[in-house]
Amino acid sequence: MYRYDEFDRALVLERVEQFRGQVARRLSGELEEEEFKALRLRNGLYLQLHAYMLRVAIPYGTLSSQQMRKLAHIARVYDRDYGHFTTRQNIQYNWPKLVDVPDILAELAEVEMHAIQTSGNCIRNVTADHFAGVAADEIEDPRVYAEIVRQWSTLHPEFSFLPRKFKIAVNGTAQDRAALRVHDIGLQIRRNSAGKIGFEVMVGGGQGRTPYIAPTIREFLPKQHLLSYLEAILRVYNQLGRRDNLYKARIKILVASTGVENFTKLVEEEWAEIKGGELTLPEDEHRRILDYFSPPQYQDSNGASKTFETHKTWNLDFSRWCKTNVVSHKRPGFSIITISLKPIGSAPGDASADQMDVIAGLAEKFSHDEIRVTHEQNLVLAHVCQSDIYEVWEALENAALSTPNIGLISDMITCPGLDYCNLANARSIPVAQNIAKKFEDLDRQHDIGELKIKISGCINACGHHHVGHIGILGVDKRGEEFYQITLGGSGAEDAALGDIVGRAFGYDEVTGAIETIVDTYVTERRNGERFLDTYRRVGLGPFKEALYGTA
Amino acid sequence: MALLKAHELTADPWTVIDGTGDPSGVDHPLITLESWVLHSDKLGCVNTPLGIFLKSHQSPVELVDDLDRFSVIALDFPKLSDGRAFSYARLLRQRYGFQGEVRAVGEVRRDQYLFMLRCGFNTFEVGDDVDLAGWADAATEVSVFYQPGSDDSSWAFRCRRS
Amino acid sequence: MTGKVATANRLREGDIVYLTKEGEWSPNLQDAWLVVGDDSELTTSASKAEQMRDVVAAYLIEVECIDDKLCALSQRERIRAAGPTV
Repeated sequence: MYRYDEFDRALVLERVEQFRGQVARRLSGELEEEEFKALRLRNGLYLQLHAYMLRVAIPYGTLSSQQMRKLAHIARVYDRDYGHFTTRQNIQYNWPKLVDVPDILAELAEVEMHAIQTSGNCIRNVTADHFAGVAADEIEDPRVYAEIVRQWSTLHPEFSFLPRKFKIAVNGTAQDRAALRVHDIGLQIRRNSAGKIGFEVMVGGGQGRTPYIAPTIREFLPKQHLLSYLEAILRVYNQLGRRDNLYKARIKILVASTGVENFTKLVEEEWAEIKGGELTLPEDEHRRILDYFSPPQYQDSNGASKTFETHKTWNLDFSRWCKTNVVSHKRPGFSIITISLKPIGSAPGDASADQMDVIAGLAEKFSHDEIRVTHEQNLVLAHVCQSDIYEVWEALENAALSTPNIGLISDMITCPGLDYCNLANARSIPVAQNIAKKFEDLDRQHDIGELKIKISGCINACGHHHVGHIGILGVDKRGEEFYQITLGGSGAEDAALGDIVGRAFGYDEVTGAIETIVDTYVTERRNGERFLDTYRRVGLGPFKEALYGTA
Repeated sequence: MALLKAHELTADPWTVIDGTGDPSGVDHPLITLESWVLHSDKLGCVNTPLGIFLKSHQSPVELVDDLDRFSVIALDFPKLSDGRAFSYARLLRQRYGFQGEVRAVGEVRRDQYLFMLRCGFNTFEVGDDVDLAGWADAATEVSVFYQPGSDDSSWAFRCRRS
Repeated sequence: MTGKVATANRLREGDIVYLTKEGEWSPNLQDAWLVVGDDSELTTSASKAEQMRDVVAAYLIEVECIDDKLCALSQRERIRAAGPTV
């Protein structure tokens, strides 16, 4: 993984001291809250429903064991013994004190971490496929480019006061695990017919109040032009994006109102002016960063796969967990393990300090000292030799981290909702917990198969409900929590926005409604179709009828 | 208001002429775009340097053919969150080669100072009670840059290669 | 009986607090100064405390007084007073 050089290190340390100064100026009264808010947000510090909340960046979701231990340490010393992993592959602490934050940032800097641009109207943490570098069909490791974009976007003097927040994601395989089409910019790594590497560039996707699937504005951008092309897009957006209405300020609205063709023309014209200039990626800089992401030295373990198969035969729990949480690695004899942070009845995405330490230890011992955070709020050990998997599973089992539900109905994306968030209209976490309990029976979950439920506590859609196979949106109706259900969304390579099924359900009704939808699917499905495929074949009709009757 | 240049207060010879008021007879008038559109013929032969003030929705691209007529281009930050002028300043410096004064006016805050310097602003309209030492610090509190700007500071790609 | 109380977060720590009749800030809603009718004095005291930088983000909330117990009317404020429900 990437390691800081003297420049990276100096920048992060300077940023810590800059923020320390800003906090001191706030406490002395030199800065009013309004001005301080704009400053603290661009360093990841919110004032939430109960307390301050600090969001720490985990660039493209990759962490070392040492970094994970530091996150655990911060949870213990400065917070309430846990952290929450987010859909931008970051971690949030829900209870830090303002006066402690400069010290927290200084501790993070010790392990090459920071909270820069995890909020505010600037370019946010760049996300990438959580199976980067280990997926068999990968063209190139997307984290190389995510790191290049991270650096370019950090404290960018021109793009630090954009109309609204700006999210970029990079993916390098045919399967889209980075939700490219719902990003402000999605970059899909492609190889052209001449064998050159570049990007398909998608712009103007997003969720929130007005969801859009991003159109492609360029089929192939040669890789050395990545930064100049991004600069062109951002420059067009910074000048023309709306600033009069918070809900119309994202680039998706600019793209839609300008028209894809015209917008593309504006970008291409701007790019023509700067193409080939200073931002052209030099081969040696590309090589320097690429080297950090070169594959680890895998030690072949003879008969690894045989031991693995034997364990599966005589331990049913292990075998079930393997079925959902272990997938194949590009290197024979190795596997990718996804650690579920969705035990039945827990808050999705939360991990305790002790659990973080356990995972750090396992990564160090069994997975080349590396952990990934997925945008689906789980963690990944990406390089586990098959002969070690059983031992890893036992350790996870002891730490309540062996829930075998990846991709199943209880593996939900859930925003913090009204239990923590200042913007929320309704709770999300208890809704997820109730649904998980309802479908607790593992055989039933397996029978239902792949089903992605995504829950947001308000229209801002942090829980990605628009692209859930089943999406749940919490709304407030005269002081009561109600939940609107959408069906048929997808954030993957077959991206689609869900359709609203009908009138919303009360807090006590929503679990039952989900069960009705699932039962309807089970009745309607043919030949082992996924929920999404059944929905695409039969449409809303049968679900509407089951939920509301024919009237 | 006071004017900051190279971290020091400096005298401001310019007189702001609001709206479309007639600037003739005024020494160093700083006029609006509307005024320029209206009076450009008359202003063509005045015997004083001209300055122009652009609101945040007025791109300097509109002035491309007339840029050499102006000694000062003042770009407005009507509120903290409106960052359009950062792009305008960079275009003026890098694309159109504007050599004159690019002035930041409006909500110009210490914590944006370094960004503004890097985008090519060289004068700053600030409050009379400006903390000069604080602003000087703000210009140096971050010394590593990950991207080229419109100032002459070097950036990481280049530093790493040298 | 319904009325209003002032709430905010402590600036330095972020903890939720409620304004008491004595002009202190208490973490406990039950200590809050309940005002029925004209709430201008409550507003003034709260914004003064913001200016003094004791608290941040001060505002008034509606509460109900049942059997001498104060209970926030909105779900949001009930969760804020009692902590996360999960």
